[in-house]
Amino acid sequence: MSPVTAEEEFLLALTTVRATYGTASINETDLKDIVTIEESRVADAVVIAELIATRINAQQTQTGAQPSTFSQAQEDTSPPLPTPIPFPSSASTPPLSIADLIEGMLTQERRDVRKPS
Amino acid sequence: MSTPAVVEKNITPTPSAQIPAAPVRPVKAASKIMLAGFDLGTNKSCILAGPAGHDDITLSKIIPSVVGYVKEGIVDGIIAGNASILFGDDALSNMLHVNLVAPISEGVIEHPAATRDFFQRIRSLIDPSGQAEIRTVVGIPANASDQAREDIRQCALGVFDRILLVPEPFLSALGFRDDSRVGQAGYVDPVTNSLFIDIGGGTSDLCRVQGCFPSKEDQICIPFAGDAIDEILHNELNRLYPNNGLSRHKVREIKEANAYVGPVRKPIDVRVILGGKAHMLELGEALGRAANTLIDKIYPALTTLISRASSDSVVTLLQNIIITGGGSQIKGIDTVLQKRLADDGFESPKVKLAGQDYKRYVAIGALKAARAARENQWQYLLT
Repeated sequence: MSPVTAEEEFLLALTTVRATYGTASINETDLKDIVTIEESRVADAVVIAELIATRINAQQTQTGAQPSTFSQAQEDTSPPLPTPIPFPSSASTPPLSIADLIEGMLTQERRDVRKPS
Repeated sequence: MSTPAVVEKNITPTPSAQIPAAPVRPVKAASKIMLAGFDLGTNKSCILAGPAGHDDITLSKIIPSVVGYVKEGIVDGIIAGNASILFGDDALSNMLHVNLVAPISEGVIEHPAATRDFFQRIRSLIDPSGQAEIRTVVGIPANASDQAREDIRQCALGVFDRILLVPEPFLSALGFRDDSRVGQAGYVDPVTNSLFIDIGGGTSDLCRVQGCFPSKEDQICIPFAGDAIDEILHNELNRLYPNNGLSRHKVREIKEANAYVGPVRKPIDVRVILGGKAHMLELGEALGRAANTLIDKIYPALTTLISRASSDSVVTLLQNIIITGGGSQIKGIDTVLQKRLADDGFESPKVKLAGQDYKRYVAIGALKAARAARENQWQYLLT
């Protein structure tokens, strides 16, 4: 039997409340508002976690600490995101620096400006 | 053509005839620097901001990209604070009392004055004190023209202090990247080899990201996305149910809740209020027809980008096709694209959805870029 998802659990709870207290006991609009607020709250939390993770990881790398504790915890609790498939040559290359990528963009822009139209 | 608003510190720009003159803010002493990631969307914008040198996020907000100018004759007290301009949800909820203006159309600035007002609002959210230096990375469509870029700079002139314009699909890839795992065994940076499909309101942007900043060859922008689906659906509704009186806003709501791609799904009954009475409309076929048009538009661009990949990288690339943006919420879009690729003989394609944070990846990527940008990479905006 497949595990019950949060959505299924929620719908079950909703059905139980409606069966017990009547269909008018829960206002659809209120419910949608609550769901919207909670979705936004979860999204905010994910964003903050992602951005903070960068700095924590960098600090751990600087101090020589193993980043596995935090990373493992994050793997266990974060919502399932698609995992990129390994690209064979990447294991030996250092992580790409965002500043270098921006530099690449600016170089392209300068080259395009110099090209005669 | 307008004078460039950036880059050279010693050039004083002249606002174009179309762009309103920049307001002059008082010269401030070097103070706090705030960094912002700004996804300037056709329908919705997302902004993330925090102080430079810190990881704090002081602002995380999604705002409908709409400005409402309060109509003349509205009596005091109807609009909160008797404001003359409303933004985002406030503007939409006071639709009756304002003239609504959408600053952006198909990913580019349509109404410069409204865009400037919108930017001012964003600035006040980032820095209510009005004293900080604001540096913002703004996402732009993959094929934004020089004029489209210049229009953004002109509207930002006098509002923000420094700016970087970066293509949206690349920012999506940065935003999607799990920085805490980069460099770890078993995790490969999506910036290394992936293909992003960012389906927004005005444009669908496809971008191959393969370890360096994508060139023009790596990016395709199609001026067909959520808004175009709304238009097809609206026309279809008007054909099936003449004089229905449904607004474009309502049609968008119907699409967001029910759109799907693939074989026709019937019945899809949608409850709407027409002439004050509730009606059930069967929209299965109309919704499918409208949304399937998107697939027909995106697919040739997708295969074009795949065909341009080197033989060394294409197999992995095919397994890292990621859909983000509002269009990623269309039911079945990942499976339909994947099946179509497989049916056409592409080797084990895998198309995935970016996930629940799809509305924020561009802004997350933009804030990451803002935090990583070197001092000399920022472009100055001069008043």
